Amino acid sequence: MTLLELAGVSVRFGERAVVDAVDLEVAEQEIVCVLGPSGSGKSTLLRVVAGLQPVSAGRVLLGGADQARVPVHRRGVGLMFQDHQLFPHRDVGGNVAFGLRMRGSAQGPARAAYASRVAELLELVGLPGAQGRPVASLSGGEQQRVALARALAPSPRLLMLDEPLGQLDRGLRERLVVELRELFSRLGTTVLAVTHDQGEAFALADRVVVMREGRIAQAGTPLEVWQRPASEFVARFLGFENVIPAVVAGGAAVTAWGKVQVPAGSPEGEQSLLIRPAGVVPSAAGLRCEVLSRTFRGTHVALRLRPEAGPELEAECGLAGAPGVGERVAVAFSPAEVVVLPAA
Amino acid sequence: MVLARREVGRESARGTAVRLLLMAVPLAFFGLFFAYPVAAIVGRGIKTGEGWQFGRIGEVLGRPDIAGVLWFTTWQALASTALTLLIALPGAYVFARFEFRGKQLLRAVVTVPFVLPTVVVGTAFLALVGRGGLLDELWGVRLDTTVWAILLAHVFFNYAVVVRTVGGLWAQLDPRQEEAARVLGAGRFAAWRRVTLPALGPAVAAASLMVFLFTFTSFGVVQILGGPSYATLEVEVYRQTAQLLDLPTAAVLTMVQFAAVGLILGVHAWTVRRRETALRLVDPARTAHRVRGPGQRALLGGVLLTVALLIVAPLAVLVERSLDAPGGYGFGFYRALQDAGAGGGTFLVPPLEAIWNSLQYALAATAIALVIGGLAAAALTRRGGRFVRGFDALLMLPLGVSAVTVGFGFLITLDEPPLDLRTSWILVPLAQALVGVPFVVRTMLPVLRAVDGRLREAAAVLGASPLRAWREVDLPLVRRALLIAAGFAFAVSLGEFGATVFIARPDRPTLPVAVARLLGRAGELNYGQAMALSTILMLVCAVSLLVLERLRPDKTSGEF
Repeated sequence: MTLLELAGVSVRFGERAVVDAVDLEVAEQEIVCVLGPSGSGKSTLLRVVAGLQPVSAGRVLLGGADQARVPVHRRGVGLMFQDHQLFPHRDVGGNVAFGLRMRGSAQGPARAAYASRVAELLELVGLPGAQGRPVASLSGGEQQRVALARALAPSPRLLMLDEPLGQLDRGLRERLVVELRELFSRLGTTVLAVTHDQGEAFALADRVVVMREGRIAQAGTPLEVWQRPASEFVARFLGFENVIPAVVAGGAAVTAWGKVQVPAGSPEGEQSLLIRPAGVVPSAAGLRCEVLSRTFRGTHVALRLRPEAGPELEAECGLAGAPGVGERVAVAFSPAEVVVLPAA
Repeated sequence: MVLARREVGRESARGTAVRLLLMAVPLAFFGLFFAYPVAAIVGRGIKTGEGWQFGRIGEVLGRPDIAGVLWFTTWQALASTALTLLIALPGAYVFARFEFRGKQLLRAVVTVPFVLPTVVVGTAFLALVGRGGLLDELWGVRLDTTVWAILLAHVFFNYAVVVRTVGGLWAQLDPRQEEAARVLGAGRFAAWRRVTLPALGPAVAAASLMVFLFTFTSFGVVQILGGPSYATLEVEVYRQTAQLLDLPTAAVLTMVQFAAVGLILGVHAWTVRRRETALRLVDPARTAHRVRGPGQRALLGGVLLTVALLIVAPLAVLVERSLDAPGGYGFGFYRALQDAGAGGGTFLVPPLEAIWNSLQYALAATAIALVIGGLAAAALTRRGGRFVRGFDALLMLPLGVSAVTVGFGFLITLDEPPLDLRTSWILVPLAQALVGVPFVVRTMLPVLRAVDGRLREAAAVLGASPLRAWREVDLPLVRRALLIAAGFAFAVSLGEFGATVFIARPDRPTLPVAVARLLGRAGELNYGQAMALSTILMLVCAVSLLVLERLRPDKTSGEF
């Protein structure tokens, strides 16, 4: 069942369309992550859903109801701001209880209920007993947890996260992503998050939406997007650099790197070709290259190669037997890691 | 995304409607109780049976004595403003960032001069630097024939404006901003100049503007200390109205002052162009610290010394005079205040009753000023178009218009139905609120504008309606500013003289009016009683301000 539906939503600031005719659906209990570089309009999208940003065109529906005339405070959505925006004049408990107070009366039994709900949420985000702490005494990670607890407290039907883990260090981020995903599926929360970090998006989301200059460039499961980027932009945004113009005919592509076998059923004609680094493998009879740099990545070694012909190549190889800088190697391309991208 | 944030501030049609509604009340208030009376009295001056006499404007302005008055008015105001900033900015810093014993008391003490009737300030300075004054006795120094007496009295008078307006914001600036600059290689002064000063800019500009307006329109101080050689426009208006009965000249001068003030406000609005950015405000209690090291101790010492010499000394002389009864030191003058007949028929009621009159009037005036000023500030919080900016400046005009003109204007306009307020007690608080509103707006606005708009958005997303968001987010953050504003409004209402003297009923004088009446009569008893009553006024102010400081709520530690 669809909870959120955006139909042809555009936001224009003057001549510039920051969000351009976006259609998007989020099903109940689904976690959707909008992925894009800064300036791609993804934060604006969240503001539109929250009602903080009026649309220039299009409709926003929540639970099937048009939200055009529904003010921000009646939409029943949660939004966790990128820089938290915790209320400086309230302590942690006061921040978390805020949404509860706005939605109910502050008398008698309700107050006690708030207190227990606040305690429950702080427990949930891993800050038990922090009610009385002043907001200014919190570290960045703690602020983020309080912001999350505050957004979750009123049980919003849709929770929106703006760069939820943006300011945390890598280790904490990777752990929190897992925790968040588990938490959301346990609570059955519907989530719309935006991030510029593909790792975060892939780990968190059921479905990823890649945005470019206000438009949706691709939508799909993390696996689909990773395996079959829909365009050169998406491929490059995901961090792939081995993208080259190609002419595809009869199961092979002619490129500056030579002839490359493509998967069966690929479109023919003038296309772009993506070769994932894992698909660049040593082969005595292959394209001869010089190793420009070598970066240790923990599980593998990333190589930068300068081939005899064509632009530089990225490759991956195992830890053992990785060539050194300046060494000469010859490589071939394995078809499973080759993707024909629709021409831009 | 940066673009997105900037554009979010754009007004929806509904926002504009709400804002116009908020502004309607202040606009009506100013139209009825300010524009109308002033226009009426100016009209009476330059309109005769034969129609408008605009030629008189040129005639009056062409006179060399009037040109001299204009020049003196301007340069002494500039000099006074500069001197006040120079002396009071260190004070603002000390009050904002240092924690020391007796701070609250001292804060109340420095505010006392501001609410004293100007006539009393003048007299106190005369007693300090004039003939036979303290300095004359000690070192044979007399300043009453020089412009320095006027300038020092103006600093005395306006010290609190800078300390309260600038210090209030300074106390809430996050010191880590300056620390960040220091780490980036800025020296102590450079960090202050590049980080703190720009953040304080709006508050400094607001304070300067107020000081300039006060000194530009200075009346009582110049009247007493200026002697025959120095006169401001306001003094000249009073002289032409009350002494020479030359209403046309007074009307022209009122218009000139009005135009000058309008010009100043216009230039101010144009140059400042709403520079308040969203500052990160923090709890003032966390930014203040104990004095550390010789440098800070010297700064604190210097400020305390300045306060002692400039503010406490004149006040002390005032108290000394009030106790210096004919038969040796004692409360003789105070006892005389209980008796209506003691002043030789000056009063219909015992002068002591003026205390209750003053308190009641000032409370009513504060309430009016808070409502009107609060509505205006709320309406002006969001940056808007030219119209709004104009409204902003308009609110300051009452400070620039001769109080004498306003008071006289009240008398000739609000005396017939449907607005027959001549016999109503509300007339006095209305006139006093007129000078209180600008303080409320000026104090509230920088702080209101500094509240990060996204905090309001966060509240809205969590289910707070716009009104509720204002109450839950803006109000707690500006509560302090609101109390300061209330204090100011109360204080200026207590001390208001120029307009009140025209409209207070003879059987219900306020303290300043009673003081002036006593000063206006010869005799040692009258003079002593004036000093005693001034002392009482000073104490009333100090006590109310102290109560206000105490009233400041504790740190908000969550609402449940």
